[in-house]
Amino acid sequence: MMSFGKYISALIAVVLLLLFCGCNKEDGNVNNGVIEEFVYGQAGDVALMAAAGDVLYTLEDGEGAAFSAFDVNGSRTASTVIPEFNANEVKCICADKKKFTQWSTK
Amino acid sequence: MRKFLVCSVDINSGEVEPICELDELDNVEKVGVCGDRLYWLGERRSETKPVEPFTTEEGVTIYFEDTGKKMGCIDLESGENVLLDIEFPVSFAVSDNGVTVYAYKSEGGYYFADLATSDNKRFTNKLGSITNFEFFKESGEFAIVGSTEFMGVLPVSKADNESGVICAVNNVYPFFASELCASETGYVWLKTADSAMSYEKRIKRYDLRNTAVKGNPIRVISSQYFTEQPFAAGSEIQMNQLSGEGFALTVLSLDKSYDAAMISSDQGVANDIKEKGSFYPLNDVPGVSEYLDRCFPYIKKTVTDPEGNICMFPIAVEIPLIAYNEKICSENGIVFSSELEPFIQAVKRASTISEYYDCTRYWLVQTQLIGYLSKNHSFDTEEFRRLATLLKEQCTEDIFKGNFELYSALMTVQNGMDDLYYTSIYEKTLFTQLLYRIQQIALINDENLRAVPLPLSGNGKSVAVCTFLCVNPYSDRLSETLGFIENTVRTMSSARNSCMLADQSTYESTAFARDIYSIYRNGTIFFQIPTEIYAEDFERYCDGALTLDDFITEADRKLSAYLNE
Repeated sequence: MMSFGKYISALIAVVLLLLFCGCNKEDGNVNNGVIEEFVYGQAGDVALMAAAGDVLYTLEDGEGAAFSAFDVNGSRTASTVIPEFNANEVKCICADKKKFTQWSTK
Repeated sequence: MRKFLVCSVDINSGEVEPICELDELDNVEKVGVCGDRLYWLGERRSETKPVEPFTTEEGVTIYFEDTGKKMGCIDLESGENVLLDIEFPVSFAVSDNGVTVYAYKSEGGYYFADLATSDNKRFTNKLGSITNFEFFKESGEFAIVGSTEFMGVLPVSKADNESGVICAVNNVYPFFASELCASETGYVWLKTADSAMSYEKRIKRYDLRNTAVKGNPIRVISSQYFTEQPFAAGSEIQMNQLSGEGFALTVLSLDKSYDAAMISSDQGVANDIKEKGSFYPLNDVPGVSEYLDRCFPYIKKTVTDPEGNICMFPIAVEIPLIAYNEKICSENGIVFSSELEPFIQAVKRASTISEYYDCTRYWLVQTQLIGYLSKNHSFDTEEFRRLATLLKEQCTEDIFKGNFELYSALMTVQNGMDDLYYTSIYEKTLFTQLLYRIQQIALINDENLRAVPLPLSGNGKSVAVCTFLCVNPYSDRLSETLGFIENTVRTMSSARNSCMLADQSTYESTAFARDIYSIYRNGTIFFQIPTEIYAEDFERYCDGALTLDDFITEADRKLSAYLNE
């Protein structure tokens, strides 16, 4: 079994639906007024997060490293727990949209 | 130092693949993938070194503290790790166009550089120190957290030295690098609290697809840092802090190279600028007059000249106050008064009971002298002689002293933190001074607190420090600047607990909130005389190095020279 040591950085290779739909290519208006905020109610006590496309990836605080993916509506679409990790041992994460294909085929 | 394992995790299968180990680091703060490389930012604290501050052409000093940050990259195929040759990296961000680094250099200050062409440094001090930035548009816009120049907002900018900064979202408080992420589809995610000091944070997403940094910012000059900045949702602002002299010269010389000036009524130069400067009247800017009608009357009076021109736009007012625990003070016989002598007696009594109070001599003396000068132009009065004698004899440092833990204790308990250390302090806290509005508002829902102003001078009003924006009539971007003011007014009109709006329904309903409201309603603003004229000599008088008559003669001489300048 792999030894992960005490302090770990994790790179998430993740499900990637490159939803670039709705991206406004116009220059936009500098005086664009109120910007809507959306609260991710389903996300628990999030220690770390990363994004790719419209998807938010989180690592929840607590024992075991619980990674989750949330869609643009805040719904949890995927999750996994890596028992070898503790969330407080993971220092940072990132989500890589370009590498997923390669890794996912392993 | 520790070892860090970098690995990939497939969130669907749970499969974990180790990539490489990083050693000789104390921490890893950020990772990001670009192409077939993974970039990392970490700390090697044993390699910190002193860094000379950089002084800009405008005379502003830019400081940088080296925490031993290092940046490197890992080849994802071979697992080979290479340390990059960047002396003082601050942060980096990955986009489809490559990796952009934000770093510091002793000659030039902060800069952006594309990693592929790192010789092309774009020096800019518009953001100061930051903890993280992330791109959210293909056109190069990024969001920032932890900027020392922008507090309580989400700033948005581009990696150049021309564009300004857009305050995209108000009242957000992310700080750590891990509390921001973004994708180039236009979304930014923050882990943020609802108030400045709250520890309860939630994940929020902001849709910034229509937010564009165009590179024609409103150029705002100032000569100091302000705890409260103008917030105009979506307006691109470039703050430029000048030296005091440079600021006054720029404003008084009708320079066209700025659009608005930010001034505070407690700056010595402010009165000069109000009297001699020339500012564009804001009466016809939609919403300004109506907004001022909704503010406490003294605010409108201050910004309006005798001809009825609104020459300044108020951004914030601040009145220092004392927040006290009503029950604990009452049980210990501590009764506050708005008059100086009984107030001093209350603090004296507290000093015989416990150490859990905070009221510094400096602020009490300053408040009294400023209050006196708000209605007198000479120190040679019986009123001043009485005041000076009282301050010298009664306001001593063994009684008037600071205890900075008390505010932390109040904040911790207010936010429901299970911290037994601070809870035990909270339960003993008698009172603490709160100098800034942002501190006062952060405690506004505490049911145990009440507030009193620091003792009032002869006219029975608290002197408020007001921060203003003044529009340069010679600006070559006047119409955009007026649009910025309109945008600012729109945002401020709906603010809660603003301490400027007279409508009490826009404030919380606690007793503490009602006290704060009453204190600010009973405020007055005046353009203060530079403290250099009297403050140092007054301390010498208190120390016995000057007699009161000598102080009065010397201070009046300087005051007369200043007023007749």
